[in-house]
Amino acid sequence: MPTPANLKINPPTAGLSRRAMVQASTASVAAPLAGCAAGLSGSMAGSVAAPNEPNPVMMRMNLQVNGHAYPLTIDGRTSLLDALREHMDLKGSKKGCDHGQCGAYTVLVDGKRINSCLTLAVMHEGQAITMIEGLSSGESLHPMQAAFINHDGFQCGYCTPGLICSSVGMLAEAQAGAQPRHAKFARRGHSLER
Amino acid sequence: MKSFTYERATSPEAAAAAAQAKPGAKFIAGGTNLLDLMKLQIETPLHLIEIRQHRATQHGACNRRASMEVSPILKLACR
Repeated sequence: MPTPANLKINPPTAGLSRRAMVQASTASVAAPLAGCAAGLSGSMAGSVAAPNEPNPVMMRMNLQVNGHAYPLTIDGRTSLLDALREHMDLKGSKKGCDHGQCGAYTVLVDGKRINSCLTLAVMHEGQAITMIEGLSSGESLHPMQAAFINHDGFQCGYCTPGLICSSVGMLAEAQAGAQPRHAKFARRGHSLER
Repeated sequence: MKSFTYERATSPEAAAAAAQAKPGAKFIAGGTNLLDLMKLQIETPLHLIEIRQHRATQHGACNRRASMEVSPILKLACR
């Protein structure tokens, strides 16, 4: 049976206490992680204009989102995605890579699917912007939302709002004459899932 | 992303004049390529001139990929 005596390991006799060693090793692991986090926040800072960013050019715009008007005065650098999420508090569209690869931020502008992270909010005055929040009417789901539920199409769910908007846009494209020959057509612009 | 001023050009001529008048200006149509590079500060335009609504040709630079796919002209050409 172990006794408190033989459980005691690494007695602080060699000039380095166990606690000091744990602290040192934790710091050595944490340092690269902190560097990684700093790099990540650095890249994110490029899209969300920091309040202390020098010389922000504020722009007034009036956006139509999900059938409602949103008058805004925001930094002209604001992407459509950041305007929706941070200034209108519409969190349905998600920020994935923020570089047009993952598709989690796909919204419909005048019925056409676009990457909201790669376009400026100010460019979309006078256009009808529809996000996942605007697809359903009241309690009744859009047929595409219902289809995703019925066919268990969610996976982790993070990209799903973008995938559903993209699917709605795809069907409109198909009605306009494009030929969705295979699944790749449907998920064009969605690199993370499927 | 560096700060910039912005204008929506009212005509192709106005866009060209603005590009000449403003040093460091760039045209922006959709934004897919330019904004990507601006986020990484590879591109740092001082002024953006939006030209999305001006389509000099039916299949010019302002077309979306999706609209190219349904283009009767391209369909005919690729037959």
